[in-house]
Amino acid sequence: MLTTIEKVIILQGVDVFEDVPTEGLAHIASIAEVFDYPENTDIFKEYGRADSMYLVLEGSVVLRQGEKEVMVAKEKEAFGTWALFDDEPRIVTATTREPVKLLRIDEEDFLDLLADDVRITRGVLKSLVKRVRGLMALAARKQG
Amino acid sequence: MSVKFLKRSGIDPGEGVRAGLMFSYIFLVIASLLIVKPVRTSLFLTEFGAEQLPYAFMLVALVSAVVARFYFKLASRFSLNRLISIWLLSSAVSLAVIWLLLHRGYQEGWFVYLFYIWVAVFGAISASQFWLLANYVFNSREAKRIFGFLGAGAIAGGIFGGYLTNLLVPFTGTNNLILICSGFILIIYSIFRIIWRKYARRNLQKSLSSRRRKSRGISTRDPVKLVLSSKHTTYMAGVIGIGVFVASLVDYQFSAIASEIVTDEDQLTAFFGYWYSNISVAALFVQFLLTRHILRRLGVGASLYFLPAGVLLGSALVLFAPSLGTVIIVKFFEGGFKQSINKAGLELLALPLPGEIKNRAKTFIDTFVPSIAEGSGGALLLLCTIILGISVQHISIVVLASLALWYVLLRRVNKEYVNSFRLAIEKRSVDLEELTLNVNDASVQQIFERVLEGANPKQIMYVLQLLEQVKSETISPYLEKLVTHPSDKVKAQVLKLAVEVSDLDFTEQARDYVPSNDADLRIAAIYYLCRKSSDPINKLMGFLKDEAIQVQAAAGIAAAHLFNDDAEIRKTFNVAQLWEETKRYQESMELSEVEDEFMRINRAEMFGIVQTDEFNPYLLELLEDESTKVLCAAIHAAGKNKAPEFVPVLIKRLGTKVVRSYARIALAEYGDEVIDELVKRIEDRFEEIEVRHSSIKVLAMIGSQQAAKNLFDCIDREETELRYAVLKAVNKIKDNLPTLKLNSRKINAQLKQEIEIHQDLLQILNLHRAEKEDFSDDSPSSSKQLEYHSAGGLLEKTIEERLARNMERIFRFLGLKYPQKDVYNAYLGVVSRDPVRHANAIEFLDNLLDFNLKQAIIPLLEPGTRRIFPHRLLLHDCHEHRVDDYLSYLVNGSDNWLAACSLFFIASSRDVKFYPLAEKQLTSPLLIVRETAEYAVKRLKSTE
Repeated sequence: MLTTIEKVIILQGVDVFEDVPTEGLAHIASIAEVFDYPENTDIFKEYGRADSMYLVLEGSVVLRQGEKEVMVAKEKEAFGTWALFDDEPRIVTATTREPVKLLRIDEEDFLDLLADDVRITRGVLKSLVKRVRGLMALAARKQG
Repeated sequence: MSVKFLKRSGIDPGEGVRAGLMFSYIFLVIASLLIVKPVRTSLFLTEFGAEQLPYAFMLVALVSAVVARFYFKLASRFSLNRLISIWLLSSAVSLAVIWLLLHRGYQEGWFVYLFYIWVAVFGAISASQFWLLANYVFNSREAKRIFGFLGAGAIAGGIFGGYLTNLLVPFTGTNNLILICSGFILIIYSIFRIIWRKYARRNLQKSLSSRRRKSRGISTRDPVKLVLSSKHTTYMAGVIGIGVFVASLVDYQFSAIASEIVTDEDQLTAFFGYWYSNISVAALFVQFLLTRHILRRLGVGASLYFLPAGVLLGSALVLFAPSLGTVIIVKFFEGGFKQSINKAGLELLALPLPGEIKNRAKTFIDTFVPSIAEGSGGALLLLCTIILGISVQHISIVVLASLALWYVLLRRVNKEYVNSFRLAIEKRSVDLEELTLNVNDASVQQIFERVLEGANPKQIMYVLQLLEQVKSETISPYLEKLVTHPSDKVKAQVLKLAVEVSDLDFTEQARDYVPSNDADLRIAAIYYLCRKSSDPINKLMGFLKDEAIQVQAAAGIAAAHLFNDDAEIRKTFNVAQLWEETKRYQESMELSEVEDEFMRINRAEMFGIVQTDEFNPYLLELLEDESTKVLCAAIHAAGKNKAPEFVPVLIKRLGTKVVRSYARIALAEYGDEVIDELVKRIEDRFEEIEVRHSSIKVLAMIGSQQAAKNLFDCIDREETELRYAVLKAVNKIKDNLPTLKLNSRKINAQLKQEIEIHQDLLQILNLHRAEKEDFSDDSPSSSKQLEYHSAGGLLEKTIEERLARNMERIFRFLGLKYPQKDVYNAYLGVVSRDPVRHANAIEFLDNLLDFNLKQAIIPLLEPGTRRIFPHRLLLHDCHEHRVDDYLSYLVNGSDNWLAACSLFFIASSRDVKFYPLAEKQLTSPLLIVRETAEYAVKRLKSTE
């Protein structure tokens, strides 16, 4: 069983949370639950409803688009992050490669947290803006 | 007869006493002025002759500018009550002293000059104080109706004062008139006391906070820059300036020729009194008979040409046939047009400017520009008469030359006026609340026609809302065209306007619109039909019992408006009984759940409009409704109603997430009345935290001095988050209310406390970093080291975050002590990563802060500071124990999250010496601390 602070240490590594204050991460940690999945289990399927994000605590998870392997999420890596921000269906299928331990954050709980704590909201927005700026700079460089 | 007169003057029943008192006030102010003005002019001319008038003009300009500036400063420090009281009493005393000195034959040169200047300053300040007071006595809607009546009071006072002077001088002599004037001012003071106590005081606070909201962001801007920032305001200033400039030349000619012919002092006083009154009569005549007509036919632009045209004619006469007769003619044109048609035109010129810019720029133009122009007039007269030796007659050449410039400025300002108006309508930025629109103005009409015939329903709606303020037959042609417009919103607005227009009949159209899908149109149609019906109650009952619930609902809202708007209906209409009857009827219908909810929302809206206590029990019932939509509507209605019995329910609703924001707005509507209740909730530790935080937000929204004072009293609470919220709220109030006064001793104490916290945290951070570095030097790279570093990193980041928040709090407190905007800019520089901005901010603070604060704060801002503050808590000289010291301080401190991070760091250190420290926290009431202490104890035990 992970303590709140252990979860915070893990959440620190997630890029959308990098600007959230540590105390805010503790609040996010309080809504994050640990789940165990056996080997070769689908955590979610492509085109399925996106309602939570995951962080790998132990083991690894393969993400596939159709038959094509897109990436492998290893320890301390997050996947399905965008489910926290929009209602679009999943674009990949996530399958465990071995028995895994995951930290799951539910979209609804997360949005409630955002509504209650402006500092978490500000931190998340800051990270998202950083990302958009990065993409814009990249696009400008490509055009130039 | 008197009722008819009041109605014709724009005064509604119940406003008579108020308007009468204000009328008497301005009547006596202008009458006093018109008594002392001839006295001072004749005294001056007898003593020095017309040659020295230019010096007097220049001195008046100079002193007026200085006094105006000084007065503005005083106005921001003292209440209007004190300011007016002191001004009136000191004026009465000054006049008595002047009379006494003159009575004893004291007529030294400097004294005559002083009296001349004093009269000019008295006129400017007394009139300006009156109009400021009028803004608090009447709301904007009343002002639109009543200010014309008050203007007439000013003109009547002018006539009375002048004729009284002319009449009394043969009996009393010139000097004794001053004593009469002093007596008049004491009467004005008595009138003012009644006005203040009965009407102005209660409106002042409310009005100030609303102005504060509107003035955000503009109030601090330099007025000169503000005027010069737009061509419109620049040319407006030019037109006003050239008018005053030419007036000073004409006044000189008038005074010089008059003093040459009338040599006796008393006769000269009587002469000026008589002619000033005649000019006022001429102004009154032009005002009532010509102004409206000219504005309607020719528009604002053309109305401004009358004054220069009159001066042109008069000056030409003086030039070719100089005599007392011709100079009286030019003064007649100048005075008669200036106070009437030209004044109305100039007021309307500012109309299209955005609200607060208009207030600020126009106040500046009205106070400073005339002083500068009059001073320039004096300087030019000095040059022409003393240096160049130009005769009084040939001053007309200078006047005629100035008219050329006046003409150019008028052409430009007219162009800008139309452009600004077009832009204001496109942007919909004309402030409806402040509107004093003259729909009869030809140029305004042209713009309206263009918009109303256009295809943009939003702009049409906007113009129709502007026209709503006018309610005159002149808008009928627009309404006839638009009553069949495709947009339902436009049709609804047309019906609203048409109710007040007697020559229109839209009954047929309104009947067709009753079953419309648009709620506003349904309401407007029913309202129109009831208002135009000979038996409105019966008509209304028919709609209230209509088969369609949409029609019933619209009829409910229309009934509420009818009750509010029509005094006759209010007398005969038992709204509660009608409501009971309607309710019974609705209950007899079998409504679906959705329909029932719709009707409950409708009822809440209706109660919000009627605002009568009879509905309070029903509204209280709706405030407990299970539907969120109904709750929102009921909370909104309670805020409009402002009955005390709703306050506890609204406060309770601050704890209901989905309606919290509505409850905040509703409570803020109560203003200062709810402050005590909210403060109680903030201070109650057992109250829901959301209710406490929302109560703070409501106080910030109220935004008054009292709200800020009560909030600031809560600042020394131990709960960090609450304290921060309170501080933020007080900052917000200060932002909107720069004159806010708070206990400075308390601010200093709070600042001291925050600075000490910062010093402690900064030392802890430095010690912690050193400790981390030592550890990496000593240990090999291992999982233990990684764990130690990630726990140490978390603690380090948390301390940094706490430092940042603490710095924010320090600056927030500084913002309460120094100009908030400056402090905020300095804060942005301090937190900036740009070293130049950072250094500039420190330099700025070095100049801004008091010595003691500077000494304490600037060392905290130096980049990468590793300074030790020996007077603070830790045993810095005991190097061996430093880790124990700072971790013990953090674990035992009041910051729970910091304590938890420290315990986690202790766990990762696996150093058993920390065992007692961790063990002590196993009984902590706070979950996060207890949980981490358990984790640490377990880890340390396993190390053992």
